[in-house]
Amino acid sequence: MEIAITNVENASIVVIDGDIDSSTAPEVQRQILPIVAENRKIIIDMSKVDFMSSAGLRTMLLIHRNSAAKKCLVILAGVKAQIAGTMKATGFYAFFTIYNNVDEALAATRGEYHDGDRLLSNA
Amino acid sequence: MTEIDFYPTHNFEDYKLRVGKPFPFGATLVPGGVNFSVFSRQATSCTLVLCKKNSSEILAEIPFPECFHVGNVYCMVVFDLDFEEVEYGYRMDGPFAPEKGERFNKERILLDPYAKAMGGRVAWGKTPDWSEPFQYRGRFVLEDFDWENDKALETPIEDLIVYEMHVRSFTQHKSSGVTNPGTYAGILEKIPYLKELGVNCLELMPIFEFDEFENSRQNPVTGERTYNYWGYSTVGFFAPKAGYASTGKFDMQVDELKNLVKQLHKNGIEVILDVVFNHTAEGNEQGPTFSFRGIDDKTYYMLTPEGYYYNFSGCGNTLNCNNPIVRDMVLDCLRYWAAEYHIDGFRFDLAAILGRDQSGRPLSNPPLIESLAYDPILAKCKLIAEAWDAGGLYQVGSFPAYGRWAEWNGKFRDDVRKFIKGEDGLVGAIAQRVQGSPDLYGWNQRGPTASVNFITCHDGFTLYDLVSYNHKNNLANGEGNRDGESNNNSWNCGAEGETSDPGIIRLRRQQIKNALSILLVSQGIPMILMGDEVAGTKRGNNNTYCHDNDLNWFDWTLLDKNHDVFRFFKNMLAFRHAHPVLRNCQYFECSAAYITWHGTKAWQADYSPSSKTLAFMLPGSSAKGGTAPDNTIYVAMNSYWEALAYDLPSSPANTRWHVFSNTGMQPPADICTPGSEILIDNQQQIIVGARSVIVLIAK
Repeated sequence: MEIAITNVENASIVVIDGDIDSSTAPEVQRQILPIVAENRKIIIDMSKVDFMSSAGLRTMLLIHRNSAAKKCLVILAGVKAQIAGTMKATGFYAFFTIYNNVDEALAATRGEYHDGDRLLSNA
Repeated sequence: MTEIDFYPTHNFEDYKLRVGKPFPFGATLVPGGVNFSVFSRQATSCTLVLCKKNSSEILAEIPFPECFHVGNVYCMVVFDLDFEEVEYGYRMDGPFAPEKGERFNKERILLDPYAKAMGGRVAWGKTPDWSEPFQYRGRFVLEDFDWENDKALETPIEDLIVYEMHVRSFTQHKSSGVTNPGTYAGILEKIPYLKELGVNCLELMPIFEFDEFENSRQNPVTGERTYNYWGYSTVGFFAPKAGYASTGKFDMQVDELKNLVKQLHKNGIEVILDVVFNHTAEGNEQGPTFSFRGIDDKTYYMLTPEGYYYNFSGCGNTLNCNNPIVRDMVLDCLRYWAAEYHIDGFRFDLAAILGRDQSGRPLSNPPLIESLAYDPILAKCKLIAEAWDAGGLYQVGSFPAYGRWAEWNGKFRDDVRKFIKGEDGLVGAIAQRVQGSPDLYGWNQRGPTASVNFITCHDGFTLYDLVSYNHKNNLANGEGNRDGESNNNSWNCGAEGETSDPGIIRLRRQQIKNALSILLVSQGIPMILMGDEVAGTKRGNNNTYCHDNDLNWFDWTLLDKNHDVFRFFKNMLAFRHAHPVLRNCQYFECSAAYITWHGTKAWQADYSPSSKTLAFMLPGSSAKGGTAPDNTIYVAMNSYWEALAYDLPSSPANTRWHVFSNTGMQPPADICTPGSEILIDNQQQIIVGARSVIVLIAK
């Protein structure tokens, strides 16, 4: 699992490449939480994540909660269908803001998307 | 703050260890590691076995150092375990002396009785590799599910309408149209359906880990594989069935089930679990040893003086429920499900066994049943007993209740079945049943809420089959039609099985509606069987425990085909919810206004042996002890084969009788929605059709 972080406009884009499980989740947390502390909007590009375990989902939720406490937006982008299915079945899906891809997520951070669009695009 | 005593003190190979906490039993994630704790009274040593996930490849065998042995408990923390990639079990060494109840075999790797999740059967129906030495492996569970504000609903028990459901069967049929058929997540997608139907409690048939391949075989007649499909044979009491989770293959069954409970609660629907504590899947001395037998045979099972297994369950062994260790396990288990999964209640399979002592004798004051009744964590849970066992102990009406326990009322089932088929001599019994069976539950102040009323359940005919078959048709079970109840009090309405005779078809629908009407206007807690609301059939098979096919699966095409039956159910359920007078928690004789009895003559019920008529009037002023003013309701039942005129008692002052339902009418005139009842012209007399039930309300 590798993590690449780039800053664009008013957001940080975090590209995660590889599985997020109990062995890699601590690293995800270690790299992303500092960005939350900087109060930046965070777009996590999930399009190269094929598997997210129970511990992986919990790490993402922890990141989300930390950011929500700071009123800082975390968006998941490009979540693969199987992971989205797991998230729906287990109730995690409802906690997150999710867009189809990074471009849509970026547009959203500029205020070009409304919540209704998000629901439509992920229905 | 970091705990100062939480550091490794011992090493074994590359593993860092320290003495664990004896409580809680099981494997618990703690900061930096996993706390393992397991009881055995007679083992001479214990070894923790760690395996690579999804295989029997052993990663390590860590013997518990003697200083990690506290009393009869082995407890150890293993640090830095990759808990998502590892499964675990135990080897127990000790004597092999079956006559003394000691069956240790250190060659076997044993499942932790407290395992909270299980590997080995994570995908339903995947043929196991029986050559693997370690079939059922413990897994670790993150217990931080985000429940938000959810808690058990604590719906008053008298307000429940229970729907008995088999998780896989509900959505496995291709017609269900759900994304994840046959799973907890599948049920999630059908919540709108359940709400439309009007049930507010699901009673899930066993969801504790069981092995669908237990006793699996080829049916000699059909060649089809049969399974331990219903799951009344527990492997792990603390672990949810992973094969019922769409995410079981990703280890997420715990979260998936919790999410289902949370979403059902959001929709006002409670969850009751059907729990099987009377026996385990280890069977008798010829059965497999995978856990309890190898950990402490004498503690977990009721043994004869010679060391054989008592079989009060009919399934080979009997869990030793009133042994203090086992009693604590049962309590720990139910507390865990209540606290960790927000489960609203439990239905105990063959619960009479819970009242037997360690040699099988019935106890007058069974400690386990008492403990459950007074437990602080289970204090608001519904406790429902199947108050009999396979050893001949029949306790309907006499199950030790401690003011808490309700019972499956088998007499309700039998009497209503006989009455609607037109048997003689039932009127007196039906009068008891519709009041909530004061003859059974009145003597010790239990009240109507002690009675779970049902006409059908998973055991036996479906409601459609009850009115379509005189005889069971169980050949598909591969036991020569010898299995299953032979005395079903069923009547096929004139032809056995499927028929094209429109008169018979019509009568069957009417009988279904008669049965449901009586069930829903009776005091007590009604339970309906999944699929009865669409006239589902098992083709006359009354014991479909072994079929993973359309004998058990809910056929969603029936919703269209039998829509009038569904509509009748839906409206009758809504009627019950709308009228608190149907949901009292005290018998009418305890209230100011009495139930009154009628027949073809008002105020004169006919209790003669050949009578097939009974009517009753429930005074709205008595609803919920007079605290919830309601309409007065009049119900007329005629199980005679001809129409009869019933003189009506006067409706209360300033009201007139309106008809809510009349099973003798053709749909849509058979029922209306609550609130749209139709004024009847003749307020003095109604005609109750042959084999019909009419419900009137005064308004």
